[in-house]
Amino acid sequence: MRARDNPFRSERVEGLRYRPQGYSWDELWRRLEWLGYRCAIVGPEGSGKTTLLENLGEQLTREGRTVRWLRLNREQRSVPRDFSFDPGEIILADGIEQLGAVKWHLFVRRARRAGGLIITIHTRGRLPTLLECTTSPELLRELVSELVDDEPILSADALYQKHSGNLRHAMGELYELYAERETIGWSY
Amino acid sequence: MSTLSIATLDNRTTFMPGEELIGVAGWQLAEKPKCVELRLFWFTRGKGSEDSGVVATQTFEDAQAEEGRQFQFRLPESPYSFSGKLISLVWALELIVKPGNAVERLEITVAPEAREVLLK
Repeated sequence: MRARDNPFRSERVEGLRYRPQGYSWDELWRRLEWLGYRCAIVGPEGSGKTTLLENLGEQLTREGRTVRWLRLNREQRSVPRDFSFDPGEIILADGIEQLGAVKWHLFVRRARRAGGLIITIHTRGRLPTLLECTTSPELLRELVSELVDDEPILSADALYQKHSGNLRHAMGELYELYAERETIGWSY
Repeated sequence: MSTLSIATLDNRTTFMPGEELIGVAGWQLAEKPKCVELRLFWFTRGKGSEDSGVVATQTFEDAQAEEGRQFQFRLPESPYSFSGKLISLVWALELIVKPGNAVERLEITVAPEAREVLLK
C-alpha cells in the first residue's frame, strides 16, 4: 500500500480530535477558565496530551485569543533565548518534561508576564492539573474505526497491551501493517 | 459561502518535469477579497512528519469577488512525484483567499512519463 493511501499516515492520525473521557468539552473549558489559563495537561507518552493542547489552541484562537507555541523535545530541550512573554498571549508549551528543575523555575517566572500558560507534561506538580490524559483499548478501537472501515489485523486489546497504552505507537504499528498488506496478500 | 476552483488545460493532472502547467483559477466570494494567490508546491505523506516546499506562487492582483484568472507555471525538473510504503511525495496546486480560510487544492503528478515513481 502506498504511503499516500495508508489510512494511518501521519496527517490522518494527527487530524483526530481529542476525546474527553468521562466529561464534556464544556466542563473542560470551564475548568480551564477557572484555572486562569495556567495549568497542566498530564499523561504518559502517546496519551493525547499534544492533541488536546492543539485542540484547545484552536478553540482559543476561534474565540479571538492570541496563542503562541513552544514545542520542546529531545532535540530542543531549552527555551529559546529570544522567546518573549506578552500579556496578550497565552503560551502553549508542549513537552515541558524536557526542562530540568532550574530551567523550569526560570521559565515559569518569566511566563508570569504572559496572559496564560498551558503545558503538557508527564507527571503532576509543576502547575495545577487541567486534565490527566488516559487511554484504553476502547479509545483505541474508537480512533481506529474513524480511520478505517475494515477490521485491523490485530485486535485493539492486543495492540493496546503490546504498546502499554501508547496510542501513538499503536497507530505506528497499524501504519506498518497496512503498508505491507498488498505485499504479503492479507485480506479481510 | 465561498466557491473556489482550479482547472488545468484539458483537465490534465499528470505532467512531465519541465512542462508548462496552464489553467484557470476561479472563485465566487461574498465580497471582494484582500488577496488571492495560487501556489505550486509539493508535500510528503506517510508515517513521519510532513515536509513541504512551495516552488512558485502566482498572486492575482486586484481580485474581484467573482472571477476566473489564467495561471501559468513552468514545472521544475525535480522532485518527482513518488510513492513508497513509508513516504509519498505529492505535488499540488493550492488556491488561497484572504481574509478567511477558503482553500482549494488540486493534486497533480510530476514525474518522467507523467507517471508517479513507485518505490519498492
